Amino acid sequence: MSKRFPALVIIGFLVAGVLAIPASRTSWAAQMNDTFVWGKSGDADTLDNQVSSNGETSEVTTQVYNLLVRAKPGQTDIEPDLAESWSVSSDGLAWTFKLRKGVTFHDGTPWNAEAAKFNFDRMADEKNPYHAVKGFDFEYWNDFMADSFKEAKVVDPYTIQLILKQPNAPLVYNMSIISFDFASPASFKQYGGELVGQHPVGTGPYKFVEWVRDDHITLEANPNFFRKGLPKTKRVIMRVIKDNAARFLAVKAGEVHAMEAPNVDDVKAVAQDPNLKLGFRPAFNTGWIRFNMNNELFKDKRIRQAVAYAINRKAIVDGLYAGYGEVAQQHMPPVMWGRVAKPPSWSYDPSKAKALLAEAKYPNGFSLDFWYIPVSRPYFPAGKEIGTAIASDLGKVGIRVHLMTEDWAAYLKDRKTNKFPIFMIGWIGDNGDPDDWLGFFFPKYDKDNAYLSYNNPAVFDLINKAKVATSQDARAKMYAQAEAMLLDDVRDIPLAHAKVPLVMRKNVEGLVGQPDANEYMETVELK
Amino acid sequence: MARYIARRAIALLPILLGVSATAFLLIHLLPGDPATVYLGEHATPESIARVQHEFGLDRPLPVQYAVYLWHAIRGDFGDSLETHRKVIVEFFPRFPATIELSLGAITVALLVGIPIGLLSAAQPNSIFDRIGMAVALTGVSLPVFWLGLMLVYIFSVYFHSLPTSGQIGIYSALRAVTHIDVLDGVLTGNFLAAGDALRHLILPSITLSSYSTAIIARMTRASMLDALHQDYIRTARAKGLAGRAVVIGHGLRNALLPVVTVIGLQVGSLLTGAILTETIFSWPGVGRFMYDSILFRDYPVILAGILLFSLVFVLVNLCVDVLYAFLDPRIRYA
Repeated sequence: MSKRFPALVIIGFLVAGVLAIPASRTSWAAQMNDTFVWGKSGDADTLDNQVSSNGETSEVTTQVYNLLVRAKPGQTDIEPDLAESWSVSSDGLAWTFKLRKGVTFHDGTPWNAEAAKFNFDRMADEKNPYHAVKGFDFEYWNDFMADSFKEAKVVDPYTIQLILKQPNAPLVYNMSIISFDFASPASFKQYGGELVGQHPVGTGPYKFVEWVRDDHITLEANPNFFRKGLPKTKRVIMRVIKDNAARFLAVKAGEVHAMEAPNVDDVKAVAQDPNLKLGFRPAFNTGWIRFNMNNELFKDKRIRQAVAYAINRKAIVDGLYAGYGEVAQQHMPPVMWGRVAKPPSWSYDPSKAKALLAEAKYPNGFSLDFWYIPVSRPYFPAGKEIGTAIASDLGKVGIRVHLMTEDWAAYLKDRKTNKFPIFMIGWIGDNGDPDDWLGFFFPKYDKDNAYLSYNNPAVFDLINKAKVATSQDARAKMYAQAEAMLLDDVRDIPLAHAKVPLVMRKNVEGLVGQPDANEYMETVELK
Repeated sequence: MARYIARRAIALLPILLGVSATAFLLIHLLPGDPATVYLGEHATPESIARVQHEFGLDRPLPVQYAVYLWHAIRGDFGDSLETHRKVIVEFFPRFPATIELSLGAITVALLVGIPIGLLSAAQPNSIFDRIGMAVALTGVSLPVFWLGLMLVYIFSVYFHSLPTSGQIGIYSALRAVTHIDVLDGVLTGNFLAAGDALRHLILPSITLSSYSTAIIARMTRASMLDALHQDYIRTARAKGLAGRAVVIGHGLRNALLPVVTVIGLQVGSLLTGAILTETIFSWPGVGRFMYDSILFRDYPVILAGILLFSLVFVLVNLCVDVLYAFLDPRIRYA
């Protein structure tokens, strides 16, 4: 008996421990009106967003850091953040930002032009002592700023000037990407460039508390946040629950207040649950079918037109996007500027498609490999099913399709060879500037690259000019003109834009879906 | 016995070498490259080349393998391509979490599987036997992800009695000692946290144990039926021993040998095969980590994981072999 006694005592305490937690313990989080629990679909890779392009990171860092400018709630247009105003010189080579006064970092150090310059120097200068972070790269800096940036100049304590080697018209929109955030210079000096990603210190509405890898990240309210009255909750806890169904059940059980990336069936189930409601991130993506115009077949515009008329895009969007897709008429989604006002519409018309094929000397059609994406993306939520529907439509006009796919890594690589004659691909925007779209899709022609197989110097010229013009109106016209030429050439067949659902409990107020998927949690209230 | 164990330990080296070479080769035969996955849709030829160089992926395969082995021998399995941290650092807190889940599952499997098998064998073809075997068949047949989600739906969403996911509640402050949370709670005297960890362990353990419970129940039943027809059982009964004493005292011990083999294999697969359960319950163990790493083409993690799993399997089998000697006095290792 005596030998068993310690074991029995421990078991007794354990049972008492289990019983001491009330039955409603698991929905504790939901009952706490001062802690917002967000269900994440993956973990961050670092909390130093200057070196990360990971969406799981930026969801967190958006709450901790601020930018010079940021996207307005629910939009892609920008508004002041740490900068109060900005202007650009007539030659487009000097951008001047007037900074917000009275802002402090979470460590109490002041935000000013010196702090801004410190961050720009860290991003731009490879020899900067805080620049190198093993395994990471300044991907956004390299893509959006490196070519044009010359230096950051402190004009006065609250004015910073970015001097460029060449004009970069999208600069102010680029500054709304969370990878151009501002961290406390003192935190770099304390932790070094490598470790600042585990100790983020910004000016944002929430301060970093802890990060338990693959489990949760805890943030607490910044009482000195410069937007008065915000944040509304004392804490934000971001729980990593990778399985979509399990994350949804956690919301249903009340352990999590809101979540991203629900399964389609779970979105439908929300309507039946009185405790839940839906929100949406506006459609900021496009999925399209791209012709390899290096392929002899698709050099003929009539065949590209025939394919466009043969596909019933409306039926595909109605049937396979669970009610939150819309047929795309051009490359950029409706939340963007620089779009074509009245794009041509290829309404479903198989007889017209057949006539065009006959005109192109293919009255009996032809066979080809059609490549569909092997992963789920908002713009193509079900690649295989969408590919199958397209194959079926094309079959009706005599185009016999072999549906093909491969591993995503191989797919991304092979789209930049001539392996694919025709394939599905898409884009999720980084910011509200058209250069992030058209500039990326049509930088040049490459005879060995299906993705870059469109050769129209007039389009490249317009896009390049739009990148350096200083007037937004002039830029918008140039992008629209380029897009009109692309659509007239049937370079691609835009298929769909899709808004992205968010599931939340009924008591969650103020959670506005952001196009770039980085919601501002400072406005969230739990009623 | 000591010499036998030493010999088996030495035999481990060629096994691990073979496993690592095969795994290394197979991973690199897959189409696509990790640099492209790493960079995603923004990848340019320049950035791909830069990342390939950074991770040494541009070197010849034999050189990559030799460098890998050289570092692995010294305990450096490289950096994760996804988290950018040392692979060994990533595995360190996750393996105890998997051990905790496996221990929970094997406990459930033994506590449920052996009694079902015993009782079924003691009264073959009875209603209990039929129900027990139907339960076992269900356990083998049920998809783990379905069972897990159903349990969460019933116990977490409907009854609000157990948590949906995680190893411990986000509000439970627990000092990590072993990273086995229930144990850490006990060791640090934080019984409230230990209780919370135990509550988090219940549903994943039941889910993970379903297959093992069924296998152990069926194996125990078959083995017991065989043992109960042996002459020594008849003799024991003839001597007037009570039914329970015959079944437990004489039958079970002799029937345990094949059951122990199965349990050993099950422990091996529980330690390495909890991928679905860990994913459904957001259990921060190695299974889920491996799953994510495979999707991400995180070569260093996949390789280290395969080596770790192989090591676990070999060690568990060694333990089973040693256990034989204790259970069956006729077995001697030289």
